[in-house]
Amino acid sequence: MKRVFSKSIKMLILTLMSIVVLSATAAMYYSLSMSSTIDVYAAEVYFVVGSDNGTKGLVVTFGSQNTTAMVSGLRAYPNATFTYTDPVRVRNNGSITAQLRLTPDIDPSTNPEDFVYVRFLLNASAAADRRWLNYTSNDSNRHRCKRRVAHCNND
Amino acid sequence: MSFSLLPEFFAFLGVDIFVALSLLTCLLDDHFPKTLPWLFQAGAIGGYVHIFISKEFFTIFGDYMRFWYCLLYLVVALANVIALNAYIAVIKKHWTLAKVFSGTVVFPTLLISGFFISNYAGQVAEFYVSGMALLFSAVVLGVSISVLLSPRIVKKYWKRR
Repeated sequence: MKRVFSKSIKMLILTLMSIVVLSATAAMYYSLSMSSTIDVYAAEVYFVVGSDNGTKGLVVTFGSQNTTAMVSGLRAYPNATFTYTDPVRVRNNGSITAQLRLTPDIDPSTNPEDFVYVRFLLNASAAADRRWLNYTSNDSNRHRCKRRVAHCNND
Repeated sequence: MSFSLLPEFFAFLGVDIFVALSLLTCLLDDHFPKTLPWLFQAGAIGGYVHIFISKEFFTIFGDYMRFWYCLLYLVVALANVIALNAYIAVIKKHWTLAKVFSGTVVFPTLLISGFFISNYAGQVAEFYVSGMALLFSAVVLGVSISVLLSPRIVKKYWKRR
């Protein structure tokens, strides 16, 4: 009777251990077999050239997928304000309102001491969405200013 | 959705075999040493550690290495199954039990393992083992095991010689 009892206990312990080991192993195997799907698609908000491109020495070039734009050839007379009214545009091709993060990076490589500031104007179609950002000098050849967030519905 | 086997499946199969052996040797404890179920249980835990290490070093170990060490674990598990059968037949000389064991445990285990290995070989190296070849191997394996473990046939054979 005692032997039967001890065998039952032994069997019970082994069964419980087996369940634990098998469950843990199956979970581990399942975690190995899991796979993820990554979709890559074109950006819905991107830069396009404005009407000033190619005029007044202005050249606009775009990075990959038009998510970055480089505006070069900007010129200004001393003690005078020179305005490029439409150098580059931001287009939202998506169906919903998008949030923009504009990160200007200015490099006044020639005559940096003459550099005062550049004002970035976001001419949104809705007046409430219009934003601007002044980038001022701090006597350094290369500057990076903080982002400013704006909303964009279309160009 | 396509389903493909990972090399770790062989380790998982090995864990299953060890667990089954542990419970079986516990049930038949009159014929086996008392510590054997615990050893097989330890073997099953070893298989879990095996897959755990495989997961942790997933990016370092290549498919080739993962396949071979998982297959090695399965081979060890299968060797234990065959060794148990040999222990009953040769050491204990329980021919009937050995025959039953080979028919219900060894033979299906080898067949299932062979099926999955051929499946994996077809998946990875496009080395397909046909269903007929598998069936033929199964029949040959089954007949040879039952003949080998039939004392009358073995005695007749030795008398002739």
